[in-house]
Amino acid sequence: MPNVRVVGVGKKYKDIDALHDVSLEIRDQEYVSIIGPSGCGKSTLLKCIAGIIRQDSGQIFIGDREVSALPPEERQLGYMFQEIALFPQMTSWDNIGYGPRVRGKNRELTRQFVGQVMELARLKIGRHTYPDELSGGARQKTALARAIAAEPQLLLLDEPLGALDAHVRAVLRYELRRLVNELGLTAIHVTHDQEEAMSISDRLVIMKAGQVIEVGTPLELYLSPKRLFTANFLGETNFIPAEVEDCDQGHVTAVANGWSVDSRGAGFAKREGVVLTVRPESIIVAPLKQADRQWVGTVREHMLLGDCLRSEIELDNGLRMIAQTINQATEIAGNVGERVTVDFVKDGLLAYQIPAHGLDVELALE
Amino acid sequence: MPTIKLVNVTRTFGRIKAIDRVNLEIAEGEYVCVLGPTGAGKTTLLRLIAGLAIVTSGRIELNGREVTNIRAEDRNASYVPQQYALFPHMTIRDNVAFGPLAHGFTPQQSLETADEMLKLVRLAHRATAFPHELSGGMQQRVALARGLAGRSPLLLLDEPLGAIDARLRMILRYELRKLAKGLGVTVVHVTHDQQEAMSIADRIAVLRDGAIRQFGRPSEIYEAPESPFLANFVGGANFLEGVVVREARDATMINIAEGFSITSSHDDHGMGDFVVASFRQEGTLILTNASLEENVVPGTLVSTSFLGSFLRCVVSLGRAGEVVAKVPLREALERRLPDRTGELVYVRADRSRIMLFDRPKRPLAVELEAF
Repeated sequence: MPNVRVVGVGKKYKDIDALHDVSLEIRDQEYVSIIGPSGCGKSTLLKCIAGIIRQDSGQIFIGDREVSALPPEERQLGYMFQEIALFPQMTSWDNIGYGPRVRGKNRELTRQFVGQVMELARLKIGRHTYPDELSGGARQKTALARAIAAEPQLLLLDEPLGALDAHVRAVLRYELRRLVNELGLTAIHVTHDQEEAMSISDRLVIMKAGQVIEVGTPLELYLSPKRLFTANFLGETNFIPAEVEDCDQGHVTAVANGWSVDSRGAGFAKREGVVLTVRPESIIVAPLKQADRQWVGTVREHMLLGDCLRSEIELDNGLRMIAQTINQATEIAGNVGERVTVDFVKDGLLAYQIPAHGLDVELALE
Repeated sequence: MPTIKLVNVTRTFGRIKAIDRVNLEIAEGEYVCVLGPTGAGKTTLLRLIAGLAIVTSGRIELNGREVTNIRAEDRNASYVPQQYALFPHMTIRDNVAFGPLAHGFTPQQSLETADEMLKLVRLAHRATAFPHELSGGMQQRVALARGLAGRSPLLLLDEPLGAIDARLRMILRYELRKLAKGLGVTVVHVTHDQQEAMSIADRIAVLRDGAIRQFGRPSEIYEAPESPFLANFVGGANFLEGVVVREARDATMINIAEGFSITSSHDDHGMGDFVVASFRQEGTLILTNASLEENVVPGTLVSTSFLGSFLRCVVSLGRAGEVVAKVPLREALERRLPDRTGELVYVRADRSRIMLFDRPKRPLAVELEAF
């Protein structure tokens, strides 16, 4: 099955760069998600790969073939949108069998084939059921089954789970991933949902304002993002302004509002201003001990999110931090209003240069 | 005196009971989320409170006054529908000012209120823009500001964060709560997103098939759900069907399938009862070696996936089905965790964390279904 190469693709709408010099390589049988805030160009990029939108500049290759100028139907791909376009006057079975029939499979072969596809998709619906009689989840699976029944090598998914309830959505994404795996397809999936993307992708492509800003495995990007934007986009993060005291061998000692703290980072000068990041789950909250002078504060709020407890802590030096504790029947350190100490797990902090355009602009989600 | 009181409220559409004998009391200043799957009747319930739909039977009181047959505009409640309709030819500021203007405020007062509300939803800098120039998320906040600008003490919100990207939605839900608490308004907020409800509500009413299945604080519903459906829909959980084979104080033993049994400290079931044992995914531990501890069950690893602060492991227990364990990322990084599909692993859950339910009348899969 094919690899996909996007080389220097650009697309303008009036004066706005919807895509600016985008290059990307997706390997054979890889599952890649393109994520970013709305308006970042992720759907435009997918539509260029599909051939639905023609790029202004650059080239697109699927396998060994340049497809830059080919219409969608000659690109051998399956495409699935958020707005499901099942034919309402056809049964779900006929919808799935539409591609094979058009391609000349006879009635009997098509019926067998549809049965196989439905089994793969773990879809159980009656022979005479119409799309509007199905639940949202089953309709979405039918649309997916129709896309794979066309026997594509490359599957392009544009918010394929977007129309579903949060709960159903979280179940179906694993089904989707399993199916793509079993068929050995290459898949490119566009979504605004960072958890969905992280949970099923081999690699993530992070986009912002028409550009690819970072590519990597979910774990790499979650633990060591190169950009502050990525850190924030992939999940809640604390950002701490600080000043470098010492920097040596990938290790930074910095001072934040008068308190000293260690972090990962390299290439900083003494006295340089930095932004430190730390994820809420990397903060350890403990009862205050007499000896603690720094990194102490007061618990302001607790919020049970289900699998974890989210706590807001106001430190004595004026910083506010969000900490997250796994909800495993462990004792909670500090009720609201109580004094606590804040510690960080090893390698939990990372130092970044202050973005030239300012932190708020770097982190902006719209 | 509750701000909102629903007594036996029922609404039928033909033979379908969209809302079925709902009783609900919401206190002044409270933030309540109505949570449920698609088709549960959430929007219908909200429209009944707003006066945009009329009850088939039952009674509605707002601020101590019966309003069952009172028109929507006389209920002093502000309703923000999911399909908010902003006026396309008006600026954001004028859109927001429209509410107070319609309520009889002077143009000057209305614009002042609009500016104030736009500041609250962090859109003051876009006051002169037109709706089509804003993102879906921004438009939704304009609709919210317009709802707030009417200054009614009761805010009815239908999926107020629905059109917003996942990451921004996480941020805005905390802001929405702060905003409502700052203004002191009473809020009923409809959502299908259990995490949103957990993180924003004082109390959650879980709706299914038109009826309220549980009404309580997020921690109550999470820690003591009243049915397998509730445990699954709010937070997700593992389920094993079995029969009680031994009962002792704080130790009910349940036979799950040939070869293994588990013990729960919940003891309100008796010998021979058919039950569903349930435990949370983050309370499910993964061991790589056998252990003589209680409730350790061998299985094979089916898949792992990365959720950010958790690693999600699916383990097959053979005939007993699959269970999911959410392992904190830090723990997963510090000790070697299984990662090869098919690998032998052991799962464990503490007896105090194992909830017991009566076996539902319909098959478990149907009971858990949320669509």
